[in-house]
Amino acid sequence: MSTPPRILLVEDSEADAHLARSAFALADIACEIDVVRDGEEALAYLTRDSLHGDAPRPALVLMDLRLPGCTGLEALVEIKASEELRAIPVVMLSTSGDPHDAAACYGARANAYIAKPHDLDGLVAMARSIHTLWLSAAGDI
Amino acid sequence: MAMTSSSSISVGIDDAGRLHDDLAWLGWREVERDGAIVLAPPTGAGPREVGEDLRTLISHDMASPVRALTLIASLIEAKGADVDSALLATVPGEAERVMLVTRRFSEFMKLLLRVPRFVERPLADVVAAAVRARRDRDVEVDVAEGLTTRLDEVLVESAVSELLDNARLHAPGGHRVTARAEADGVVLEVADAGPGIPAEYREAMLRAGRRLCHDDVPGCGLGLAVCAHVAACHGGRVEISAGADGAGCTVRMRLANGGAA
Repeated sequence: MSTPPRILLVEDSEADAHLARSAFALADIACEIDVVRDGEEALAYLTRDSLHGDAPRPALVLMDLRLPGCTGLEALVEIKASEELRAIPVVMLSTSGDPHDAAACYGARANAYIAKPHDLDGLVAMARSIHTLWLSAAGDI
Repeated sequence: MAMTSSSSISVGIDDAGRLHDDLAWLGWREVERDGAIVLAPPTGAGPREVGEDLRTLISHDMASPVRALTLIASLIEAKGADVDSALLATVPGEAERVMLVTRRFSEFMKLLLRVPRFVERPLADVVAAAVRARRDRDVEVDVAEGLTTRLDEVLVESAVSELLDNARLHAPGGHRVTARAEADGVVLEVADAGPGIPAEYREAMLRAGRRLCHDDVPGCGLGLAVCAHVAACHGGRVEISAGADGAGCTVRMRLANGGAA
């Protein structure tokens, strides 16, 4: 049996982090979700700094756009500038769904920009889309 | 019409009083230059940038907890008792966040909409009013009684109050307010021994809605934006630095005399 794919969720809202877990559970998608709370911590996790030395490499990063300190967009730029990290797909999440935000994320080489769903059907559909596009073939990396 | 920064034009104005108030609200100030009164543009972020920051605050920071609460309610409806208790435990915090962002947004807009009224006032009185209003007992104040400047009392008291709140929140050990006269106005400083603001984030923290702390620390990133707005209304600016020993946070608000930089 293969190991469920691992997602790094970068989200400072505890409620949104739980809702993301609920989305995958409702969609019946098996995955491991590690949560960090800002862009700086995400970079530390991905580069396996002293605090995250044994952090596994995730199959996907789900990154909230609006984070305290180092924003999601700033962290995205860092990830895509790194030869070691740029192959990891990064999906940007935002409450607003603002086209300017989307353009900025795609300009910084985000793999996708998703406006956070406002209802349960949308939440499940989002989890399924993410699974189809980035997790179904991930397995162990 | 091509104009340079030193251009002057003569125009007929239908309602000069209203134009004056509108320009003052947009951050334009009357400045004496070569014996004439001229209008100088705002310092710091202009109204468009502030408007964009506030739009982002509402579309993200206000909408985010409302969205979470809506989804949690839908989950309860769909799953009844099977909803994760950890998710349910976030409900009071999300509701408080909606109230906080609403209140802070309203307070900030009130200050933004105020047309500054400059009067000569002792700075010590304005600082004392802020300390009294906040019932701040951990503050050490060092402002000379004779130090006066032309300022808008409501705006400057609000800015000092924001700085006292920040210092108390992030550095409970006590903080210090000082003020001094300089050639082009006065400098008001609030210094604390808290964790400080990393140099790379200091400029960004002056924009509305930018934060360093996570949601479990109260606030929505408007305190320093209030200070930046107030300083700009007075033809000045806000600078953030570490303390003399490299630790803590010092916020320095420069206010030009009567807003005439």
